[in-house]
Amino acid sequence: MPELDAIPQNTSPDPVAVESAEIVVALPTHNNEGTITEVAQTVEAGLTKYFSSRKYALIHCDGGSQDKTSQCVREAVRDRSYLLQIKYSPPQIPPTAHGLPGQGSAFRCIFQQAQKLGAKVCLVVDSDTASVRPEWIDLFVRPVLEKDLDFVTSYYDRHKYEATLTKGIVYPLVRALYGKRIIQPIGGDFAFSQRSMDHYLKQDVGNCELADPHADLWITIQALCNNLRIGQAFVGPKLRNPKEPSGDISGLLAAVLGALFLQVEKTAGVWQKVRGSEVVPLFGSREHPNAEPVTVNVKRMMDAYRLGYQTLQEIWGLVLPPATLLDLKKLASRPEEQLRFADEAWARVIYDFAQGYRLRIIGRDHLLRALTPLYLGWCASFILELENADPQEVEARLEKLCLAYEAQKPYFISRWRWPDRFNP
Amino acid sequence: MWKQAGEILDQSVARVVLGIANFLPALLVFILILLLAALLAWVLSALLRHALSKLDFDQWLVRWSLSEPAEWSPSRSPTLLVARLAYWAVIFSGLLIGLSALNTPFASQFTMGLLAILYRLLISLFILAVGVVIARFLARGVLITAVNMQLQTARLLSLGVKWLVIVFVGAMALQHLGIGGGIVPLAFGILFGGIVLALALAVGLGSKDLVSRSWERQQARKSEDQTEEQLHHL
Repeated sequence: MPELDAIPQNTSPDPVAVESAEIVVALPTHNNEGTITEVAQTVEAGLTKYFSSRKYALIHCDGGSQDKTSQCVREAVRDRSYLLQIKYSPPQIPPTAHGLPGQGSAFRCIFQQAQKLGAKVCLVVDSDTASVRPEWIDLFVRPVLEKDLDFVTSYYDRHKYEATLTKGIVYPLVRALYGKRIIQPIGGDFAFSQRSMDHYLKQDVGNCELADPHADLWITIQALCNNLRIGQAFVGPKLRNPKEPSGDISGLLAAVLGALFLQVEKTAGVWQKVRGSEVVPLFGSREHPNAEPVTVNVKRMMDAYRLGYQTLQEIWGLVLPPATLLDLKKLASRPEEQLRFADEAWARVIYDFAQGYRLRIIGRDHLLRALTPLYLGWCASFILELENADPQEVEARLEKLCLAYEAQKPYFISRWRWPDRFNP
Repeated sequence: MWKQAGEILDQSVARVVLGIANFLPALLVFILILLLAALLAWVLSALLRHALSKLDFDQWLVRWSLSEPAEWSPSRSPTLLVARLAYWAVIFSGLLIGLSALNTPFASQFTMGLLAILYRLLISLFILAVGVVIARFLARGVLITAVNMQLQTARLLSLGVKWLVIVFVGAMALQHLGIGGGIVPLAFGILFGGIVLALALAVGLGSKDLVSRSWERQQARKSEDQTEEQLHHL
């Protein structure tokens, strides 16, 4: 077991009245004074509206915030008798990391505390989310309490151009490999049953999983590999914190795909046996409110792709076979209006990079950052295709991409089992 | 007198014969060592060729993007190169051992001198090899980062970094070998200092308008990107 400062330390100034609770809602934080007040108030409103007859507790799990996050939580909550504030120690992370530092450690602390309270369900709410609503509490908690699910993940309504990394890589790859259609595996908001919390606490994890700001991906994949009963809660639009950096795409790719490919490597024994994919139950009514328009610079993405093709061919050639390189060459020479990245080619590119990551053909960080121009090229193609598409067409397009990933899975399995045979 | 001349002759012949008789065993040992070394070298070379072929050594080098050894190897096979290097290393070691077995002052001095040079040569080659690996790693990192920042001069920057590190390491290796004395660090210092001074003058004086226009374009593009693109990828 890794060394952790995981024994939660109670920091509530008020005497703690809650000793047991059926429902636990947890708010992991790290310097979230801008949003935490609204989140805490909304969570409290949701609990009193939907579960007033049940015993509940609110756990605020803080990772050493330097601002007034803890004070904001205390002031936001009207009834502090069910509030428990604890601290966890996030491991040192590099300055470019995205997301909650030491997310895995935070989850671990929360699960331990929820276990002590004897909770049947634990909902973890992202404290950075400015779009949380009281209905979320019902959407996440009820499937666990009444439908006997172990793990409920979130499904946000995003603009058709947003979350391209999830739509283009994370969702299709997780779906093809693990056989479950979890539309947003990196959610941030999750609900856990007692059974799933016990399972996670028993896992012998390395410090990388605990330190990784994308430990939610590890949690999702663990749920998939261990046959936990999974559901999705449709929670509507997600508004991002305006302070969230959106500029460093290569850093984001390296962090997210690094976490994903690492899990793919560790769970190779599981996904090689999976065929096809199953629908995961969805709770909540799916509406498509008018999302705020998003401006994108497709030309910049295409220029980035073309520059990448001119300059990084040698590096791509270490990972990609000649046929794929030829496809990329044709793509680079096309004008913008004819730019279409074929789904099969894109799926093979991702599978080849996953294989290159596993074999450590070059430094892993270099490999993932070298994928950035390819990703931007695919984004440009995807965005141009969906320019005039309605929500149903967007879903159909995404489904087509996922089916391409599933169709190319045998190619990936062959490369995985016999790497020498496919040496580019 | 003839008797004395005869005695002197006898003594001279005896000395020479004794000298030859003392030298012959050493010569025999020298020849035996050489033959043994040749046999050992042949066996080792064959074993290495067989083992490296089984391990697909040539393919591994290509996979680890070390294709340069293949280009200057006999028959473009690094396996053959390693086998031949091992062969000649054993022969050379046998020669040194044989020379020291001759037990002559010249042979001993030659052997010790050669070993000292060999030691420094090996350290220098090691410094050079590590330097080349570091240069390639840094060049690749700079290339990828510059491309992701959409700098058109990415390849130039990468090459510059690579050669700067290689020249630096080369100067270190030559200095360790003791070749050129103080000329090598001096030359490196002049070259490096000259490059830095030239860049400073170019930026400060000659290209200040170009640099300020480039900076303005960069700033304008940055603020344009920030206002234009609000895409969240995750």
